[in-house]
Amino acid sequence: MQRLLTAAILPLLLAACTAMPTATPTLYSRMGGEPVVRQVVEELVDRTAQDPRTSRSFKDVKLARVKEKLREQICVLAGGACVYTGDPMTEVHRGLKNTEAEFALLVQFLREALDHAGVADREKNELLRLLAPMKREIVTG
Amino acid sequence: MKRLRIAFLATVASLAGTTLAGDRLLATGGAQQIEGAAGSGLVPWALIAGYGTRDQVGGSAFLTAVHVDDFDLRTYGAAVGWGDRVELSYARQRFDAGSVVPGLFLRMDTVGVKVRVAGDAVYDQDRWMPQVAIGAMHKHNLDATIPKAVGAQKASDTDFYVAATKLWLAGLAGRNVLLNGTLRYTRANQYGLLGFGGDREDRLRAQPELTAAILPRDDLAVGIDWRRKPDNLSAFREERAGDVFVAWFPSRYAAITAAYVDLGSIAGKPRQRGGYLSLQLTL
Repeated sequence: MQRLLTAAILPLLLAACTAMPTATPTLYSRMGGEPVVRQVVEELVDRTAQDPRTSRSFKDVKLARVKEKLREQICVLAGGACVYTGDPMTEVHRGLKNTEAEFALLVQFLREALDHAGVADREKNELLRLLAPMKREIVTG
Repeated sequence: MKRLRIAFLATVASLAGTTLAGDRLLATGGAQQIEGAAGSGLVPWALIAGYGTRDQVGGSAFLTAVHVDDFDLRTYGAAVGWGDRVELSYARQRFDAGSVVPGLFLRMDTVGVKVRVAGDAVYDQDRWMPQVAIGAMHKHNLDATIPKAVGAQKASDTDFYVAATKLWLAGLAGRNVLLNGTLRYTRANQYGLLGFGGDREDRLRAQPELTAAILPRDDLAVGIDWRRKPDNLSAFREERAGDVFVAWFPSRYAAITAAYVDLGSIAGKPRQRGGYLSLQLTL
């Protein structure tokens, strides 16, 4: 009897499990995926490279490459199906002597770019939470 | 005390012409609380006043008015934050008790120093460690008559505190949440306005102070303060104080805080409740 019950219930359970979504949507997809991240990164990098308070580190840098690597990085952090092909953060920023002020401005620009792209507060704050600890690798000045 | 005040004002004046600037994120300098330190209404936080980063000097100036059933309080002052590390603050309080004793008002100066000793409230999102600061507030009543008359042991004294502040990004329903816990060693009666120590107790004792706030937007904080206070005078029972506040940061140069305060019993007058409004200019 018990075996019969098990035999009857087990397939049901398995069916229920496979029917359930395997995971909640990733932050990446909730943000709007590739098109939204592309728009955010575009604004962020352009603004950071132009603003006199933050442009220093972007002199003689190929902005298209920075944008590509940053898109990848945000995608990976936010659970998207990407692979980061850039160099480690500490290596990228070695010698740049980035200041806390430059980093804080970058975060401010990112917040505003996320707002402009229509990313909701929850997703904006979740992304910032993931990015915030990078301050330790980026601020070396 | 007077020398301290002059030294403070001279420092502020010398800084004003030089490097006052700050690029820290909006609202991360808090508001200036009732005693002049960076925090919220009643509670000093571990955050450093102004928006100065490690290489910058920030600062703020504020004007606060509190109106409760039988009393009025005006406070103004300024704070300077060096390198997001050290905060120096000054506040002058004018406590109007005219509705209780016609013509009576008390004045007190508070000079504060705060040093951030560990952690980063904003960026250490992958750690539990809060930002921690230690501080002191030296308070001096300009006239010792009233403190002495109500039974206080002295008219001037120093509070010491340790504060821990942490911001949780997307901490609650996707909104950012700030929690602060402060432990203050004090023997102040009504923040010091009625002097320090009394017939019941005359030792510095640890009193907890708490703030919990949620940020519905990046420029808005809604929260509560709660502060326990000593009860040193047998003539006047003293109770905890608390408030519910909304702080708005319309730009990085200004903050406006409005609150409903419940200051408990003051000088024999029970249930002192009312409004709190504070304006702050920030650099």
